[in-house]
Amino acid sequence: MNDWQQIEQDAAEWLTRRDGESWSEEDAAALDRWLDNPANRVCFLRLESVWQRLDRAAALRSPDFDATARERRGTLKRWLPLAMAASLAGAIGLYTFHDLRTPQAPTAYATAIGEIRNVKLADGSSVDLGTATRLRADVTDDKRVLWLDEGEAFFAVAHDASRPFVIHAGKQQVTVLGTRFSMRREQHELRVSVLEGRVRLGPDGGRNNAVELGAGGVAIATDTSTLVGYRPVSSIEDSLGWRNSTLVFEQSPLEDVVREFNRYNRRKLVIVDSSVKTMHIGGRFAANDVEQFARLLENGFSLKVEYRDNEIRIGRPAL
Amino acid sequence: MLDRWFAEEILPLEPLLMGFLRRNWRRHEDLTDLRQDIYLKTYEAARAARPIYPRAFLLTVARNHLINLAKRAKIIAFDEVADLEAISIDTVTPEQSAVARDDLRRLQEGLANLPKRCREVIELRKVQGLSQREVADAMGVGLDTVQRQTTLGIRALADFMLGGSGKLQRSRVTTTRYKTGGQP
Repeated sequence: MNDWQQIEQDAAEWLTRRDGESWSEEDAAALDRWLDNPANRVCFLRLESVWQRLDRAAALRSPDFDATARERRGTLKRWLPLAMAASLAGAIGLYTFHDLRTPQAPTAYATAIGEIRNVKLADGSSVDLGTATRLRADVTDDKRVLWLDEGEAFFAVAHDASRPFVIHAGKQQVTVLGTRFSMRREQHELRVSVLEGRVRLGPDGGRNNAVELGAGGVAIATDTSTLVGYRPVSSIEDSLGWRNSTLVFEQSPLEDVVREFNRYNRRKLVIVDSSVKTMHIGGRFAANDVEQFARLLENGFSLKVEYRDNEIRIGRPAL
Repeated sequence: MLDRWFAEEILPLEPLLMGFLRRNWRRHEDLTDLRQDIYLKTYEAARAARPIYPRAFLLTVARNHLINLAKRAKIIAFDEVADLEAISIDTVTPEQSAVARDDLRRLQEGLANLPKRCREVIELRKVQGLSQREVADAMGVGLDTVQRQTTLGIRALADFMLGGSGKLQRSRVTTTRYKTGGQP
């Protein structure tokens, strides 16, 4: 008989320690040994799933959360200058003649295929990077400039009227007016979907030819044209499933579904029979589990599926 | 992969499982232990083959577990258990996507339900993104306090988020291990 109370307490302590700064390789190895026991493991997984879900809450920082953050700011103000003074003192000691205000190069962030990552910017904004994405950020006291060089990202932008939040994507430029929205850059096409608030999208520089998008707004911009439409906010939320490694489809053609999976996986899906391209698929899938999706096609739709090393080939229904 | 399957397919069903247990097991103080026993059995069973219908699978494991308990333990009075053989595996639950959309609200409620200090620690760490050390400095408390509150918060939030009461489960053992840096 397992003492679940004790196991849960231990699991929570492990999680706390792993969350701390003094976590070492030896700790990780010890945790692995502890997790070898499935009773410990299920308990740990349960707590871990909730603990990770909390990260998403930060990414989705809503006005309510901001309110609690503001309550706290009094305390933060008290120690932030102290911490800054301390680090400045250290810096001066080392580089006496170095100009401390020398602008820093933008910070670069990148994800591999299938990886997603949350990044907190210095201004309190949060960015979720999608699969195979490169982003640079130059956030200082007087400006917030970012470059989406490749891929997809979801932005929860901290409101600050004095520092416009500007994102460059090729020739296009998105100016944020305090909001939550996503951008996806593929070859010559940029797609902007707004969940909340307003953003302005237009060619670099001028305000001419710019379009403004509100909640539910979707714009697809190429170098020469911009298409604007509105979709239900729930459908935009669906398209953001990647932020928790989920792909959501509502009766999408298999061709589109396959393209989406291939953005997240090295093992590519290939449709070898064009008659199945237009087959419609709906549901929620783990983005990184292309094998599970293939099995579903095989078992659920009786498609002929052939597993090779680097790809999975999908053919017409096996009769 | 098994871990992820468990986290993504089984754990979200916890409200359903707890509802099932509450309806079919009279002694409610057993529920937490029952839940964990059932998780363990589900996890072990899925090792061999991943079930296609996680919901039906979990409820079947739950039902079998209750039946076995009732049969094995003669001490349990008959009326401890509802008419177990008649328990049907109903599959009516709210839409998954609706659950996901409710997630944030539930999280906020969960945070709001925590005792003040515990909530502060969790919010500074997770919402504001401070490290544990920074949280300790910001609140003017020791690192061990931050860690103790974090541990409490994790457990309470798990219960709340996954459909329980979210009441703090103070551990029966005192936890002074952080100071010494020993292994839990």
